Amino acid sequence: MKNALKVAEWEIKRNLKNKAFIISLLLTPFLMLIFGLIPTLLAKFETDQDFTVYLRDELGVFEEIDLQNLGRFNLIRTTDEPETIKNAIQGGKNQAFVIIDQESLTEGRITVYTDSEGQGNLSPLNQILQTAIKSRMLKNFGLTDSDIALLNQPYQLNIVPISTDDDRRTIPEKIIPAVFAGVLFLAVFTSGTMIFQSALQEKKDKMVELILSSIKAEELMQGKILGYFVLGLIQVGVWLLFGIPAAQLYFKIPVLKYLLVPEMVPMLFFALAGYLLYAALFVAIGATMEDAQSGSSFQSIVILIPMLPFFLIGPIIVNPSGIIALVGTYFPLTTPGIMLARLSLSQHIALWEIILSGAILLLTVWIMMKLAGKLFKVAILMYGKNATFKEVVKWLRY
Amino acid sequence: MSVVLKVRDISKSFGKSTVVDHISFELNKGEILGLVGPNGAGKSTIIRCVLGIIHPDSGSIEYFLDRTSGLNPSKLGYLPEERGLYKDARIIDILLYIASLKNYPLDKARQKAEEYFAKLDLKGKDKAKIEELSKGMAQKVQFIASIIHEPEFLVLDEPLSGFDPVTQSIFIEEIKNLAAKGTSILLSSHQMNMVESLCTRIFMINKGKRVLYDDLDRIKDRYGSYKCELTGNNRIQDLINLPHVIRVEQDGLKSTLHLEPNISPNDFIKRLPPDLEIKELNITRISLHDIFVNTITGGFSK
Repeated sequence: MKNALKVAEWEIKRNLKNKAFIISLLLTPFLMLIFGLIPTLLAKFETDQDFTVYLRDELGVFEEIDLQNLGRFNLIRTTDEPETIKNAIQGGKNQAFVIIDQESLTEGRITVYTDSEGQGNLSPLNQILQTAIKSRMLKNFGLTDSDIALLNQPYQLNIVPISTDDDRRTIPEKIIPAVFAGVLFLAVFTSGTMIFQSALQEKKDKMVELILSSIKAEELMQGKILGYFVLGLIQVGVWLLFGIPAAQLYFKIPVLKYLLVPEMVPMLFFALAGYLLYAALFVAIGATMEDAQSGSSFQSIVILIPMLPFFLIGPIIVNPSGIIALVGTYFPLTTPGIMLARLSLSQHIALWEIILSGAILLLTVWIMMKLAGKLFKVAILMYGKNATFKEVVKWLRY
Repeated sequence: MSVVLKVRDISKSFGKSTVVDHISFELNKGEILGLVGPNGAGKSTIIRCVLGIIHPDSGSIEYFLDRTSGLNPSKLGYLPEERGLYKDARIIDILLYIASLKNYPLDKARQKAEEYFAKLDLKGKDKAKIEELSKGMAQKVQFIASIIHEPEFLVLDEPLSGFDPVTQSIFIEEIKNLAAKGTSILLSSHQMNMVESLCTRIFMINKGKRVLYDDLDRIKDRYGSYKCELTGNNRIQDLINLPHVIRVEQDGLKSTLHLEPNISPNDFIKRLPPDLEIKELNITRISLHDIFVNTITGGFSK
């Protein structure tokens, strides 16, 4: 164990001194922030533009328009001839011209003439005009203003499941553990990839023999797994250090309060077990390869294993207790990702489910560690080529 | 002389092929034992076995280092044939890491590193990264890495490959120094002249089996001690029929005559026929290189 600690310390120090690691460590949260915020910012920028709509009203619907709730639309009533207005707005920007006449009623169509560029999203205008035309017609039928208001009122489905208080959680209460689960899984995944690179590098740098004449192969493997676990923690730590204050400031949400919930205990457990599982898998596979570019299809498949939960995540978000969620929960290679998702999405996961899937996962981790140890020991000393599936099976039997 | 390593009857197979077949040898304190054999003879497997990297299928390996009979990796040094060091790490960090894996005090390791840097013309390079160094410099660092913790038992696999002649002689001196100070060295190489100048005893294997294991001098005595290089226009059949000649190689006017064991140059010269054309004649003691080639190709059995 003492030697494993030395290896771990070396791996940690070496990465912390490595510019590439530091840059990716600091850049990742910014990149995530940028990719997350830029589309919303751009959309906001786009929708914030004022839009002038000239309305030629031949039916008298203008009085029915709720001028307080026009949003970015600036409605101007005009009596000019259509051709004149069309010519006027042609060269401008963010301008449109609408005629509402008897034809609009009979054809059921409202024609909007816009300038040649930047029409933007005009569907709110549709809503506004429709409501106005309908109100006008209802008034013609002799309904009172309050009747019309009642008829125009939109209805929303308000779903309240009876058995739980799950959905009484506010959106941030649901989102934050899910985001945290995502961060954990991302860290598990990147650490796994790094440990794979490290096993590969060990071989490429041809240090293995020198190291193995000093310590046992198992100690080298354990040291690597431990070292990259700490590096993963450092990653999560740094990300949270940026993420939590950013979220607190930007969304005004008490993030920490939402994180310190009971579900966090099993979530951390599944993240840790998941790391051990993928680390064992990756360190062993890395040892069987000569370089990263020329892995066989068998090796590429193994590397894709941690991605499996992503294929299942869609149905699980829709129904965190559905059949796909159940399958994903008890299939050990997907357990960590799926349980992280389910625990963050739903509050009614039975304790026995957590314990059973956790036990299966732990057993798998133990078996995987044993196999990885065996494979690592043989494979790390083989130079010159990528191991084939057959060879891997043979080495596991040694 | 005390024994530091006792290898007894070890065998190792990978799948169906037996790579090491009932091998036994001993290594004495302060001795340099040459481990020689053609490519694929099983040298690397033997080395990996005595270093504890892999375990033999049968047989035993005993160590007498540090007054314990078990394998103590801290007392063991290794320069592998596959050269390499972490390319993106600083030299001094790598050396200290290896010293720490060997449980060697770090302040002492730092001091040792300084000494070797000065000796091997690496002064001021301690903070450089391996990828910034020339190949020769990197190999020097690797040599330092294998001896920085003052091992009692050192395995050198092709220690001089890639060095220029000047550096080679520096390292030959250094290896001799280490042995003189009591380090026991197992040296594996294809450079027979170096093995000859460094080793007192030779262990030669072929196809996993022992073919020779003795003092270098005694080996030379045993295997047709002399060869004669002759320049002149002579038919190869006439040369083969000369007394005491067991084998002839001919290349144009130059012929190499391998003589029977225990024949002195005097006896050979006395019986040379008068019609033999001699423009140049050289009689030298057979070299380890010749013994190696003859043994492996079966040239000694006429």
